[in-house]
Amino acid sequence: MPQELSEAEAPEPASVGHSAQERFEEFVRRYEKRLFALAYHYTGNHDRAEEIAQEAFLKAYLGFDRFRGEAQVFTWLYRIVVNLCIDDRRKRKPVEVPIDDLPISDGFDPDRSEREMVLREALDQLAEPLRVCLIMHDMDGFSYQEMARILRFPLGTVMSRMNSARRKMRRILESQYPELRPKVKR
Amino acid sequence: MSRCRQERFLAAYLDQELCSSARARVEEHLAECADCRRNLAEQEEMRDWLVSCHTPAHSPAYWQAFEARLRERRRGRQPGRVGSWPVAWRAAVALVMLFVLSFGVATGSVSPSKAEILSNIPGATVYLDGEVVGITPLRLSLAPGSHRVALHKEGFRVWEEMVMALSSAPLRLEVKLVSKSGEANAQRTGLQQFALLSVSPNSETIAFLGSKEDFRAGTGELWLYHPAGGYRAAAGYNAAAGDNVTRGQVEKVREGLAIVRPAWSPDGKRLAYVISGANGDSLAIWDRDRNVTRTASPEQALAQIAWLNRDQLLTLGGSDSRLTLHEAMSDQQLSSLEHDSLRVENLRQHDLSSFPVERFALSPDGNWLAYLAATDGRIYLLSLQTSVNRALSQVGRECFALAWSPSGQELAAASRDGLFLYDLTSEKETLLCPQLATELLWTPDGPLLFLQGEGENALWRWNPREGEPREIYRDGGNLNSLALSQGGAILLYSSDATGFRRLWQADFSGQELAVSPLLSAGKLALSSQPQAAEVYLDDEYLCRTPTTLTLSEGGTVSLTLKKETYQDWRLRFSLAEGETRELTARLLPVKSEYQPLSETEGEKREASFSPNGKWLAYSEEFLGNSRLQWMDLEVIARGSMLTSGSVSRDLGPGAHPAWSEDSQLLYFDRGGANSNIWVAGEGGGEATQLTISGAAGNPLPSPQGGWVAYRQALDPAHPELWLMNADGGDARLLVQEEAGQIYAHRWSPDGSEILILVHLGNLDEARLVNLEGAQRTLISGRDLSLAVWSPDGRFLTLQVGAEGRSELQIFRYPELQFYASQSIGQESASLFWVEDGLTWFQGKANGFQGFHLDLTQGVPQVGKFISDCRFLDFNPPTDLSLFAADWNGINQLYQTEAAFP
Repeated sequence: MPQELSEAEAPEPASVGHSAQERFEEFVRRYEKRLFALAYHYTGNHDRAEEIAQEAFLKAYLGFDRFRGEAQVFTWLYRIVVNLCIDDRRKRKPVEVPIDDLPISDGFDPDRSEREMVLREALDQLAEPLRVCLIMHDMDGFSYQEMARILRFPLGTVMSRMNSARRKMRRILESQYPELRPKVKR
Repeated sequence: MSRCRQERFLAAYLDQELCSSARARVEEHLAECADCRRNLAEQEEMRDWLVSCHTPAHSPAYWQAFEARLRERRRGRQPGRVGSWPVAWRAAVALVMLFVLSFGVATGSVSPSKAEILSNIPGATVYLDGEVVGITPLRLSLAPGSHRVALHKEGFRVWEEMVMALSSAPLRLEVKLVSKSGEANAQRTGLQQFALLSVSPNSETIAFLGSKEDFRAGTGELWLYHPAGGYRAAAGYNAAAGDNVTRGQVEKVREGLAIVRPAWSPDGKRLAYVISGANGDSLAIWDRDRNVTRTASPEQALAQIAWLNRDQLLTLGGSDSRLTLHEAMSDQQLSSLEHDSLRVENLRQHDLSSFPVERFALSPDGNWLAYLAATDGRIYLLSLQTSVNRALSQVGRECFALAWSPSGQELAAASRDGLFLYDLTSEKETLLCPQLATELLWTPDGPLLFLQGEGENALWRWNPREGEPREIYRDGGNLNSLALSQGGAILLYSSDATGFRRLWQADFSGQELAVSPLLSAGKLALSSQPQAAEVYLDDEYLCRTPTTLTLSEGGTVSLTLKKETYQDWRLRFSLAEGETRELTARLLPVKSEYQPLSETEGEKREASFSPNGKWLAYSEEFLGNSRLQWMDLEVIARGSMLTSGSVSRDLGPGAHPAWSEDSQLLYFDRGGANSNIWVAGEGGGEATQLTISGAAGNPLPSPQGGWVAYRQALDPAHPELWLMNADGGDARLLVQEEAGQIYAHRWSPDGSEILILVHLGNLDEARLVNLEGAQRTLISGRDLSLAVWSPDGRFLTLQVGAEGRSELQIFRYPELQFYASQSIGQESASLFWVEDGLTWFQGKANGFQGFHLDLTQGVPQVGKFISDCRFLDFNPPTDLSLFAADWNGINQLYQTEAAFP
């Protein structure tokens, strides 16, 4: 039995009494944070993540009338974001960001900054299907069921992929960044 | 590595995504398996590590202003933050569409809109939606809605914008075309020093400026050229003779920026350069070893930079045209020091800001600074050791370059009044030549080289032993930079009248100067049909067609043209030095059918349309796991595929899908070592197993539906042909081939015979077998494949031959008389009989192409080519071919019209 999404996640039906514009605004408010987070974790770039999220909303708006009743707008929206992220990645050659150019935010923590660099480099080495699973679940909190729907993978594939992704990620960290890898408690 | 059966569920177990029974099984296993326990602990640590990774907040203001930003973009104004081009552009297009949707409904009007298109330079060609419609000034009528307008004019950058035409208001576009060569002209007329070349002290690397699109001076990207084999040594310049020039590598350091004045530090480890931006010029220092670039805050007009030593450099610039000392410290931000904190003590003692500097030059020993004072135009000498500051020239002149001789005894000054030489011992001033010099370069053994003239200038040399300076090189173009390698080879950067740039090396052999290209380029005049396609070079956006690209030689580049609603067009090529090519790319339209059909992302292996066109069965493989999917094409056609789960059903492991003639049943095998035949009913419901003996595969239901023929390989070397009832009963051996292998079979349309292809040693044989097992031979030959009957059953076609020498042989049936043949070259992947002819598909160049031979016409027609994909199946009733491609990074199914002319 497919698991239903939580109330907060469930989209409003194309209800009466709301104009398309109002529904769209509500739509943006509801999903902007999570969409941005997904795009950010995928791209590692604040500006591109905002662009991708914005682009996804535009596409969603244009396709709004295709969703009648049963259609799952949010699934589609996240799928758009994933596809845009993959497109974005394919279009961009890997860019080496000098450590000096990394943004320094308030409460700058050098360890965290280094870890984020390592994270990006390690994620870049994962195959696309593994990377997307790892980001969606471990970093953005999507359930397996949601991922299966959004990515159109069978649920079993999501399970095996999560397994492979974590193991592969760990191998990368162990071999390339031994000082930063997570330590297993014995 | 753990290979337990439960291992793949560990992540799901950890994430509490398993049902209770599966969870219990995993727990049971964990109690026994130390490997999996450790694996689980590692996964948990990994997950916690990832979960703790930082997510920055999105900008609330950005989203609050989201709607306003959309409107802003529609009006073509730039909002506060502008996205990268492709996304922003797509967003703009989407916005226009959005506007069309909302506005079109409101107005409900279809009357044409009037438009007037003007440009500051009249005569620009106007493209409307990729088609030429006239030249500016232009008045025209537009259909209401969005249009892409582009203006092209030779020598000017392409202007392009999406515009919205409304019937209610006329559209007026006033376009300001920007010259492509604006900066280059400024360089020639303004006579500023643009140092385009800098050779590293060890001569291993030349920094130069340019871009792939157009090696324009002063606006380019920073590139490095590594000649690898060194330069040919110039005779007389203390270098090892006979070094051969080998073609080196070119690498880009910084792109997309207007960069000028590269300068290597004395130790060759740092490269300083100036980035010209809208807010001023910024000094950047690239640390070669660490590949880190530090950039200082912009200031006004950095006119000169020069390294004092390996850590400090002097710049000249700013609103008050002052000298500033910069320190490129290893681990800190570059610091720009004020005059009162200059590290060089003697510089500090002199308040240079009291007499602003126009130009400066450091003496070879670093002890003297020669500078041109902005106040009186005179040249001064400042001792950095004794702080003596004295005027060298008595008369003020507009001076463009200063250069010390290697001995430090002389100073050359290029001024509007001519080239002067100052003897620093006697303080005597000599006019070397009355013409204007733009670049000065002293060679180690004495002669002074300089460029003279504007536009088509020349390289001159003044040798004190010879007296008068003389012209030594001219190539009809513009020489715009000079440098000297460690070995003494002179490097010239030049461009011809059309901006075609080359890096030359010059070699003095005796009195003659031999010039040979060190790094040069070819030209590619590129256009497309239709025009205004985006041009990408090595996946990097450059411009739109039509355009002329100047490309450096050495290495192959990848060119891609992209245009909305057209397929990407790709070409890999290289250009030889000086080669000029013209190329027109014919873009193939993308059909709206190019939406992925599939829901899952495994590698698609086989696919089969049901005869009624309603269903599609395909097998896919992921992580060694083969699955068969039953897909409802009608659901997709209704556009509701986004409702996940309603489109396809997973039939479990499976391969070789084959539909019954009425499309109600799908036969398939499970694949693998213990394969059996299964059948699934309408809608892909529960599948039923038909055989139990294993090694059974390739089921084919008979046209009338009573039988299923399949191959069974109990002895893997000798597959046999078996027949069973459609419900799996009465299975019997039809053909046993002890000396060969049956590798294909196909029912005749009337169901009376089965054609089998048998591999016998080096020869293949095509035979027909009736249901009693009686056989008759059609032909013997090499590489027989792909048998297909005409729909009326009167002809049978077979593909014969391979490796580029294939032909289709047609026989009368049931007589088995040869009727005709058609040579097709490369063997086809799939063959179909469609109406009065044959359709086949060939995989080629990482894509496929369809062909159709109408037997009443006799000449094959060529269908469209689909690139970067793999052909899977063709559905004659709908004329749709099915293929798999990785276009979205995921292997998915697509379908398209074969589109024969």
